[in-house]
Parts: sequence; structure tokens; C-alpha cells
Amino acid sequence: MIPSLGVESPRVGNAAPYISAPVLGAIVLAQTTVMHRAMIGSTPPSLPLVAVISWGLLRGPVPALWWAVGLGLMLDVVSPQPAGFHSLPLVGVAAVGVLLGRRLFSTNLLLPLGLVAFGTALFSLFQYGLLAIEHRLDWAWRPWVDATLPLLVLNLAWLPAVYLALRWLARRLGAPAMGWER
Amino acid sequence: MKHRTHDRQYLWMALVVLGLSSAIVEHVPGVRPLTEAAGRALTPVQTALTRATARVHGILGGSRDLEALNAEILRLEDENARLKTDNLRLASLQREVRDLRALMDFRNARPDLDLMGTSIVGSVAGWEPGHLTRSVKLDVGASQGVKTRMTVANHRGLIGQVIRVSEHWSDVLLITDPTSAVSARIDRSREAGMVFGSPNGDLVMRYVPQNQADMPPKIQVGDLVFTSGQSQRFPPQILIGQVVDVRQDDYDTFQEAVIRPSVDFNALETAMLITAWTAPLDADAEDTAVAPSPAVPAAGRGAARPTGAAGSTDR
Repeated sequence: MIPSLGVESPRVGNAAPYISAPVLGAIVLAQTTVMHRAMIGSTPPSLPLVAVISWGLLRGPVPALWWAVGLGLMLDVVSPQPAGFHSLPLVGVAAVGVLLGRRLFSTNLLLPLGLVAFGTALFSLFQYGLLAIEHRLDWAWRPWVDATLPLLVLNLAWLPAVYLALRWLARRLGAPAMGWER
Repeated sequence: MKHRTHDRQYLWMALVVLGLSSAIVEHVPGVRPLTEAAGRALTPVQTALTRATARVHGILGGSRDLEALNAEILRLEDENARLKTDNLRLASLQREVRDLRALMDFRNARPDLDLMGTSIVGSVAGWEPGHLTRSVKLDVGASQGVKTRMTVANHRGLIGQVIRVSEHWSDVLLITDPTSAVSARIDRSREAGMVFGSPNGDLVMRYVPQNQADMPPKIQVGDLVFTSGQSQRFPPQILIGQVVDVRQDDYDTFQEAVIRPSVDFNALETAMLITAWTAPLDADAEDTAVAPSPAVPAAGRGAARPTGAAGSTDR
């Protein structure tokens, strides 16, 4: 059997569930409590989004997708919003943002910054779209921009701390293990 | 050997004579100025030496007490930290007492509302994780009698409405949420309209008719906006906020206004659930705090009842 460097096992590439679950739980807990002390106006930063993007940079798109699913489901549970309101945009950002963004910003020192900016706009667009489609909102650029700009600034401000913390975690977990072609 | 013995004797004699003469010399006229001159010359040197000695002594003595001093510093630091903690706790308690007093005043001022106290504090309360939608989690639930659609307010004004209830916690949709709508009235002109939340957290009052010529403006900056009480959803005369901007277009049927909420939602700590209230008899409109949860039905269209009982209609 030949080891395939391109294939990452979801289990190890994404860190074992017993390691991921507490980390994701802590992120959700922080988002619903502490982050509301760091708001601009009435907009808190989105720690899950920054974490998904950072994890995508550190571990690749597949682990980022797994984290997006886990974080999104947890957020859907704690939020009174309809199921999928948080998980769908997060998965969308992980899928589109990390895959496409990596190409857009590849081999650039500003990769994390660019990805967070791109991912934040995408995430906000997804959520606003869901709100507008679901019921009740007339589409308007102004409120969207007013709500997204502070989020963008806050996410960029939180990126270094989150990225460094997750990099430390990624190093503790070791390099992503190789999968085996069957 | 004999020489040495003699020398010693002479030495002792000389010392005795010198001692006696030094005792006498003080009283010999003419010698005093000499001693004074010597004293003047020596005093500064003595002073310097004394000070230096004192310093050295202090240093040596200090080093001996260093351990004791360190222990004392540690003890004082501990005490200082404890006092600071006590101070913070007292400040927190003071704030809590102030808020509770204000809530008590609110309760006394509004006997028509049946209020149930609760608190949103620290780890027992959560916030909506999203940036476009706004809700808070209260630490009271069905076991405390909370039901969906109960109105939540505090002494500053209207907070929102319960949209999801569990056994020990409940979710409250804030009035700043983009899916929230509250029927409201301008206190000065008695004009009615609807107050909506928005994605950026602003409150906007819509459906206020345009001003008429030769009539005072129906809405203007500084006006206070209250709940209209024309519904089953929110009790009347609860402050929503103050008008900070009015937008008018000649071609529009209605004008709209930006409202600054009276409640500081970013520093929300305490809230009261209004379990029931006496609704006005002329109720003819309906608030629609459209709840995203499927567990909460859309606003009913039934006729208003004389007595509101929040949470009773959707069960």
C-alpha cells in the first residue's frame, strides 16, 4: 500500500473528536458569553468563523469543513434561530472561502487576513440571505454593510490570537496523519 | 632584659602623666582655643563617619530583617488583594441593589402589570451568537412559570419577548432583532406606528402618517416612543426609546424615524417578565414579534381581550 499525501483522514486530520469537541465547545461558550464584552456597537466578533478559517489554514479544507459542521451545529443548538442558520453559512465559508480563498490569496503573507475578510463578507452575506429568504427581511445593502463592517474589523482584530492559539494546538496534535488508499 | 623593664616603666609613667595633664590642660588658660580648633577640624569628619556607620548598620540590620519584611509585604499584598476583591464585590452588589430598587420602583409604578423578576448575569445567561440577529438567554424557564410570548422589560424600558422556553432557561428575542416588530405610539402626538429592529441593531419606527399642513409634526427628534398597548403581545406605556432622526420623502405615504432604545442592550443584566397585564378595551392592532422558532406560532389575529395573559394564547 502506498501512503497518499493528498488524502487526509477526517478523524486525524481534524484531530480526534475527543480533542475537537471540547475545543469547539469552548469556542461556542466564549462566543455566547465573553465575545459580547468585545462588541463594536451591537456587533460581536465571530469567533467560530475566525476559528474555522484559521483551522482551514493550519490543517486544510477538510478539517475546516468538519469544524464548520461541529461549530455550526452547536451554535444552532444554543441559538433560538431556525436550524441551519449558523451551520449553513459556516460550512459555506469553509467550503467556498477556504478552497477558493486559498487560491486567491495563495503564497501571500496576507493570506490569513485576506481569508478572514473574504470569509466574513461571505458569512454575513449567507446569513443575511437566509434571513431575507426565510421571512422577513427586505434586502438592503445599507444595514448589511453597517452590520458587516464592524464584524470584519473585530474578526481581523481577533485573528492573531485565535490563529496563534490554534497553531499551538495544531502543533501539539502533530502533523496531519496520512490516509491510506484502499 | 633590664633595659626593657625600665622602658616599660617609663612608658607607663609617661601615659599617666599624659592622662593627668590632659585632665588639667582643659583648665589651663590658652589651651582652650587649641582644643576648639581641633574640634572644628574633626567634627565634620566625625559626622561623616557617624552617618556612614549608621548607614552600614542600617544596611546590615536591614538585611537581617529582610526576610521579615518580605513576609510583611506578602501579607500586606494578600490583604490588599482581598480588600480590592471585597471592594469590587461591594461595587457589584451596590449596582445590583440600585437595579433592583429601580425595578421595584417600576413594579410599584405599574400595578397593572404582573411582573416576575429574573436576572441575566454572567455564566447563567447567554447571548445570541450571530451578528445579525439578537436574543438573550434568561436563567428562568418553564419551571419558574415562564411561557412563550411573555413580554420582557426592565425599569428602563422594553427588552423583548420570550420566544423559546426550556425547563430552566428561556430565550428572549430583543426588540432590536431584525425580525421583531412592536406596535408603538409617540407620546407627544399620540400617533401610532410600528417599531422594527434591523440587522445593524437600530430601531426604526415606520408607518407614521405624513405631517399635515398647518399642523404640528406628527413625529420629531426628541419624541418619546412607548408601546401602544393595542395588542395582546405587549402591555401599554412601556418606554421603547427616543426619536433621534426622522426620514421623510414627499412621495411616500408614511414617514419613518430612527429610535434610540431606552435600554442599553449591551449592558443588560436584569430583566423582568410580565406575566399578565390589563389591556385597554380599544385594542385593535397586533404586534408581531415574529418568532423564528417553529414552536412559536405567528401572531394571532383574534380580537383583543380586556386582560392580557402573555404566553397563554400559544399553548
